Amino acid sequence: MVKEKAVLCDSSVLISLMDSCFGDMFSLIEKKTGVYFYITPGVKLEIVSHPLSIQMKAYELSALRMKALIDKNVLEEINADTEELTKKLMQIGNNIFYARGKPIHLIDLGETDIIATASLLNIKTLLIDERTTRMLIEAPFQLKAHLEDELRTSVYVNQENFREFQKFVEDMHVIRSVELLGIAYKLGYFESFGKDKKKAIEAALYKAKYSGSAVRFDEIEAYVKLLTKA
Amino acid sequence: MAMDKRVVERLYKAFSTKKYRVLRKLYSDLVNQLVTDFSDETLEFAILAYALGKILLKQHYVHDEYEKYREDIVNTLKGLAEGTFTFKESIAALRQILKGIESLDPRYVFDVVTKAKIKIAATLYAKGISLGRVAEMTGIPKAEILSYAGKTMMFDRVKEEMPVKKRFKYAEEVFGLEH
Repeated sequence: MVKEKAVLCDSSVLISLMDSCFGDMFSLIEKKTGVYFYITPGVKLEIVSHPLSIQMKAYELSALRMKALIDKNVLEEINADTEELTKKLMQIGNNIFYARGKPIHLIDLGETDIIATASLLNIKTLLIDERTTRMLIEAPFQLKAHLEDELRTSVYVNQENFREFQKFVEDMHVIRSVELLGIAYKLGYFESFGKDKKKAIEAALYKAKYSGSAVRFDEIEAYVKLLTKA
Repeated sequence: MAMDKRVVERLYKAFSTKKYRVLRKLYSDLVNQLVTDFSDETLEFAILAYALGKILLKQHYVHDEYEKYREDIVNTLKGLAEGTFTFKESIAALRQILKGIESLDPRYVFDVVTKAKIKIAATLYAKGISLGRVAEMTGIPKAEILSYAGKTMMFDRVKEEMPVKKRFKYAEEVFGLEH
């Protein structure tokens, strides 16, 4: 059963945080705030079971770190019967935007499964570093404009599919690994750095960016100002 | 789907005449095509355009010991263009030739074909296709794509609609830290 204070994690954020060695942040946040971090079976398979089963050496350490968090119930696996809804959302989501007369296949099963799980279990907060899914939820017309810029062609919107998709995501909010780092900073995660803790949070935000968190440089500057004032 | 002969001809002409910029343009066109018209064939051609461009560009590949490999590439592309070899045969042959080239002077953990796939995946992600979708299209793990993408300017090219203050305020509410 899903606890009231719940955040559903996508694989992208776990990858970028494990890569930058901030996995232990989850334990601190969970202990101090009582918020539960959930992952779907698909995410567990993708970032733990699969790398470990085929001994993907490059990703084994990250997989082991995440396995440790799961074993300690810091990250909890949660299941919902998402097959049908995922199929529906894939069908809709990949037929919202059209370019050169063809639908743009934007999202895959894993990303759609996160949305389906959140929808079925009434989880409002998603932890996602992956930019496209986040923009599809938060700012679909910004995504449209970006696609037009990149493809140098007009992108058309299937209004029916767009409205249908919006019904599932309109109450959802997305936070990224950088927001989680900010929360951890406020909870004292960087205290061990002593007088360097302000430098440490800045360095951590940059590290998260270089590990793949979809954050802009000017956003990092804004975060450093916001978190370290006082 | 019938193989696009024009692409093969462009590949063959560009490589045989050592026109790196033409290969680069072809690579760019193919990646754009992948956004709306993904096919394994288009992906293979994009990989080839990238890989062959690298072969032309790298100083150490200009030496005589690589001459046989360059000739083999030209002959295979010519054979594909003329229909002497099938698409599958040609790709397999070209991959072997590229392996052969790199085996003479191995410098990186990732071979040029894998590097091509990572770059294509990151480029498609930058263009707006989701991480999961591009990982599925190219067979490259998400972690690899994120690691590459994180060191580019792709995330700075899109204006964020939600200001940092607003996004963080929401995060504080979720975690019970709001004032």
